[in-house]
Amino acid sequence: MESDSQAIAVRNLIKTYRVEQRREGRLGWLRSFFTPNFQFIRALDGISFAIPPGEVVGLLGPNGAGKSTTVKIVAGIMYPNEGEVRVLGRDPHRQRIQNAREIGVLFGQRSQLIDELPAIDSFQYLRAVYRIPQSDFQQRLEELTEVLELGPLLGQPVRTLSSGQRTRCDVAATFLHRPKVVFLDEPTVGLDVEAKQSIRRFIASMRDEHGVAVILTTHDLADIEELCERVILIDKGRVVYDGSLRRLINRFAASKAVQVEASASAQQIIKQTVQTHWPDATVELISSMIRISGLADAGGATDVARALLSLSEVSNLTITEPRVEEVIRNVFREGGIDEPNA
Amino acid sequence: MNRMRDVLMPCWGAVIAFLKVGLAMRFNFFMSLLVTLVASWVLVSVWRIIHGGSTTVQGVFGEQELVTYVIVAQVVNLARMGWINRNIVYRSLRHVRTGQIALDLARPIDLQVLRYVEWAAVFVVDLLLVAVPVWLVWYVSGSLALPASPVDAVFFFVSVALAWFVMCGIHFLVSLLIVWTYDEIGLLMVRTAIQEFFGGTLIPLALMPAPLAVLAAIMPFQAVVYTPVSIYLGRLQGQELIFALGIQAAWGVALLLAGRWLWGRAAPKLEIQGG
Repeated sequence: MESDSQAIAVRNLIKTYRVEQRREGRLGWLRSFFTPNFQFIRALDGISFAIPPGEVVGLLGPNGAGKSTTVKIVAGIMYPNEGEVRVLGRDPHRQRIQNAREIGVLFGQRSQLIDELPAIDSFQYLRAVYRIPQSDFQQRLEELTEVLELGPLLGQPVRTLSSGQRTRCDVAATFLHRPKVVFLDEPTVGLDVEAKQSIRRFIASMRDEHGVAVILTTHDLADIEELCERVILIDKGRVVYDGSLRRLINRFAASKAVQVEASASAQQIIKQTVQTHWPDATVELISSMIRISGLADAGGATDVARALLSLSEVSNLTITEPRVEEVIRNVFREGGIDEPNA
Repeated sequence: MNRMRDVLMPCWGAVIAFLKVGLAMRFNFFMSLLVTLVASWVLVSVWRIIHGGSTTVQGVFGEQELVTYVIVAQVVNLARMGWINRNIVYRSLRHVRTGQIALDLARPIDLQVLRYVEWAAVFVVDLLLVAVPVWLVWYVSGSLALPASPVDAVFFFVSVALAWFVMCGIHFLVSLLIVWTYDEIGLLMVRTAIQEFFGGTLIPLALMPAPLAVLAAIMPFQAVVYTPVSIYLGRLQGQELIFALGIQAAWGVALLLAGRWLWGRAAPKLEIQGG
């Protein structure tokens, strides 16, 4: 089977949830008590994709799009109503235990560490559960402690850690048994910039040195920009885009943005000039800076830059890449892409 | 040999982790001790009043025997709302409702094995930190008789171990019902009420009227409390004793299998929404 060479392969996943709906009318709350009204909500509506070893793929979508549900099904935790899942060639539901040995999961909103105990105790517990030889365990723990700066945190009960400290320990717990496939659901939530950086570097090194395949869901698009060449966009339980991030950006944010420093009077002139010649563009004032983005065509940025430079009061002109945030917002505003799987 | 190690290493890791959890909750231990002391004192007082100085209750129990029964029943009451139930059983139920169970299911260990092992660890902590001290307090106060004979004492410990096995089966089944009910406290309260009544913690089953006694006899709860306490008192001897231990073991196995079957039904129904 072709999907056996993939780290992860899913086909036509369908998952419906049974959700209680309050009855309508003035005494709806009372009637709902006696005769609850259940509705079925389709969380996943035919999701398919495949991820080879050594690739970090960003899974993006608005709230409730089905990202977490997809991750839980692929990890073997929840069952789909229909569809096929293969992780390293195995069915993660029929062979949950063998599958669990090779995967790592991180749910940013919940900790996998035992709350009452210091993190080191959880690591020792995981060592036993994953049957990691003592010497490997020591070596990996030292590595992780250094990279994620866990040193002083290891002996403190987990419930007394700050959320950023806890997340760093959680990341270590996820990678301790050297999984081949990893699911990271919001791994950088609540972290400061430096901690985010160290976690991203760490994920990249796991991919490059150990060929780990990663599904990454996040709301911090900087994670995506730094780690993923490929993204999968999900909306209303369907894949609306699966392909390179670069292509997505080119398609949905055709131009780059131009930013210059200008005096207050120059800013007014620039604003008027831009609005006359490039009516589609967005002009933002950020203290002494002015930022022009959302230009309709690829050459737009260069033309704007040329026009601005002809004004003498501008300095520090930069042309920047479009923000992924804007791109994604555009995709979902336009209701997806007409050519899925492009 | 290696296969043996493969199975035992994760279990041992879980035992150690939960021993640590148990010992990290110092305050819970004191509360548990207090609750058990108070509960046994209340029951002893109630039964002394009922007894009212007559030599036996319904010609079945003498006063000393009855008091011993009530106290030992509290000592081995694995359903008490102390240590085990408030922390470990409640925790496994709450995990289902909150979705934390997702992380238990991401581990390469069978969920049922994991639960039994966790409960074994806290059971040991409970035995050492609650059961033994409560027993000692009552013994020193002079209210409590020793096991009927040294042989009975040995069989009593065997029976307590089997009682733990049966109780794990009950815990596990109850903890799965939450997939349908989503109410952990309610489930635990119902289970505790049924367990304490039909297990013989509140009233020795021998004192129950026939229809209730029959009902109690065909349910697993008596195997948790009534059997070990009867052995302690020396009321079960010879063949009867062996038969009672056999019944306990049979309940343990039956509940284990029932748990496997129900988990097979519950797992596909599991819905972990959000986060």
